[in-house]
Amino acid sequence: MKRKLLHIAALFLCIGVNAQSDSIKRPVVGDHTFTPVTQSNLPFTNTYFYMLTGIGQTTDLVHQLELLDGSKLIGLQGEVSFIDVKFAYQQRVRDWLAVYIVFDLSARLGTELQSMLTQGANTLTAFELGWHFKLLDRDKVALSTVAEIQNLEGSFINILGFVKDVINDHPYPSLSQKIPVLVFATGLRFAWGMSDLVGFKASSDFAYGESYIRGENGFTMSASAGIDLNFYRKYSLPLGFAFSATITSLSDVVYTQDSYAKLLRAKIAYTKSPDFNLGIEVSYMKIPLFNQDKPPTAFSIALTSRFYF
Amino acid sequence: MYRIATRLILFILLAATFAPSHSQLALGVNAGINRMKFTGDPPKGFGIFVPQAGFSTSLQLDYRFNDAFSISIQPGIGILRSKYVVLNDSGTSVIDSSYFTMKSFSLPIHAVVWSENGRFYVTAGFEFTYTLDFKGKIALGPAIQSSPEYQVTDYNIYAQFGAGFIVPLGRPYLSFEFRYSQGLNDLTEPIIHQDSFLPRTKMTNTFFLIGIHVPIGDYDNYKLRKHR
Repeated sequence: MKRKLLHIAALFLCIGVNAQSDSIKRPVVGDHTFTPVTQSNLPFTNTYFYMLTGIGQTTDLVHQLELLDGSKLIGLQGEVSFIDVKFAYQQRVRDWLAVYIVFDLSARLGTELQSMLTQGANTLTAFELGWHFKLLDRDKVALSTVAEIQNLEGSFINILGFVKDVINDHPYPSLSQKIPVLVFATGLRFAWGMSDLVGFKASSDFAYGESYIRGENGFTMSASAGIDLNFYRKYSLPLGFAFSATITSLSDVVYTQDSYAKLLRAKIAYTKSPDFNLGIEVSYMKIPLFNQDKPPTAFSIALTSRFYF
Repeated sequence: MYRIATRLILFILLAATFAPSHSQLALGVNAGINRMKFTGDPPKGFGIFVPQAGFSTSLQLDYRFNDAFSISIQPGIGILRSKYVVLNDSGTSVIDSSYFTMKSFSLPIHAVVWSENGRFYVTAGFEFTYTLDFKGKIALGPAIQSSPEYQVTDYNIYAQFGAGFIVPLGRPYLSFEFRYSQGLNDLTEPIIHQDSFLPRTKMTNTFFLIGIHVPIGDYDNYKLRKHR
C-alpha cells in the first residue's frame, strides 16, 4: 500500500512541471490569505503537500458494561484516546482543475480496562482520490467543487464480544473485524476575502456509499463554516487565527450509524511565509462512540503543515 | 458479445472517418501490467490477499475537444491475477494458498484533462467489464489441490483515476500512464460465499500502461506548447 501511494505521489509530482505559476501558490482571495483548517476545506486548486499529526482524549467518559451473565455494571470511568495522522497532496493541472490524494490513519483506543472492554481499539485507514474544480473566482469570493472516491477500512477490536463468542462456542470467534467501506463524495467550498484582515469560509460535503454495517448503504454529509483572521498584511504580525464549526456524519469521523459529530476548531498559524503554513489546531469535539447514548466530549490538538509549490 | 464488439469497431471507424473534418482525433494501442487485489471481508482464518501481476492491452480512441479536454474510449482485454495465502498461527509459514485468474473484456470511458504545456494529463472515468473466464485453484497443504467453481458476476463496473505524460515522436506520441481502479460492485454474492475464500469482495486494481497513439488529421491540440 505504501509503495502504491508513493508511486501515485511521484506521478502527481511529475505533473507539476511547468504547471503552476507563482501567483497562485497561497490560498488568497481578494487581499486575504486563508489559513487551512481540518474539515473546513478551501476552494483553491493550487498545488500543496499537507501533513497533520494529532492526539486527543475524551473527558469524564462513563461506561456501562454488560457482563457475560447479562448483568450490567454502570458508572465505570475510563477515557478513549484519539490519534490521527494524515497526508494529502493536491496537484494543479489547470487553473480550474486540481487532482488530489489523501491518506489518513486514525485510531481510537480505550486507555483503561473498562474503556478497552466497552470501546475496544478501533483504527481506520482512509485512501481518497479526487478532482477539485474551480467554479468561481471573483475579486473577493471563490467557489469550488470536488468529486472523489473514498476507500476506507475500519478495523474494530471487540474484546468482550470475543470472550462471549468463546464462551458461547461460536464456530468463528472473532477478536477483530475489518470492514471495508467504499464511498463517493462531492462537495462545495466557498471563501470570501472580506479584507486583508478578515475572511469567511464555508464548505459542505455529501457522500453516498457503504457504511460500517454490512449491507447498508446510505448518505452522509458534512457542513462547516468559519472565520479567518490574518494579521500579517495589516499589522506585520506573522500570525493567523482561524475558527470553524463543523457538523459531520462522514464515515472518516463517525464510525456509528445515524449519528453526527460536532466539532469546534481553533487554529493559530504562522502566516508570513509565501510557501508554507505551519499551525497548531485545537479542537473541542462531541463525537459519537460505541455503547454511548450521547456523544461524549473530547479535546484534541494537532500540528499541521502545508507546503505550497 | 459479438454484437458489442461489432458496434464498437463500427463506431471507431466512423469516428476515424470524420476525424479529418473535425480534426483532433487520435487512435492508438496500450499495453501494460496490472496488479489485482481483492478488498472485502477476509475469509475465515488467518490469511491475506496478495496482489499478483497480470497483463492488459487495449485499443484507444481519444477525441480532443480543445487543448485542455478529451474523451478517451479504450476497449481491451485484461488478464488479472491474485493470490490468497493462509498463514500458520505465528504467521511465519504458509499453510494453504489460493490462486485466482480472471480474464475480462473491458471498456473504460474516461474524461481527460491536459496540462497547459500539453505533456501531462489526468484522467478519470468508469470502466465496464465483462468476465470472460474466472478460475480459482486452492492448494490445501502440500498434496491436496482442488479447482472449485466460482460464481462471480458477469458484469462489473469500476471507478478509475489516472495520471500520465506523453512523449511526441513527430506525429505519433508515446504515452505512459498510471491508473488506479476501484471496483464498485461486489464480485460475489455475500450470502452464498460467506465461508468461502471469496466472500463479499471488490477488486482494486492498479495499472501501468504504455501506449503509442497517432493523431489523425489536424493535430494542433496534441502538440506540446510552451507554458503560458
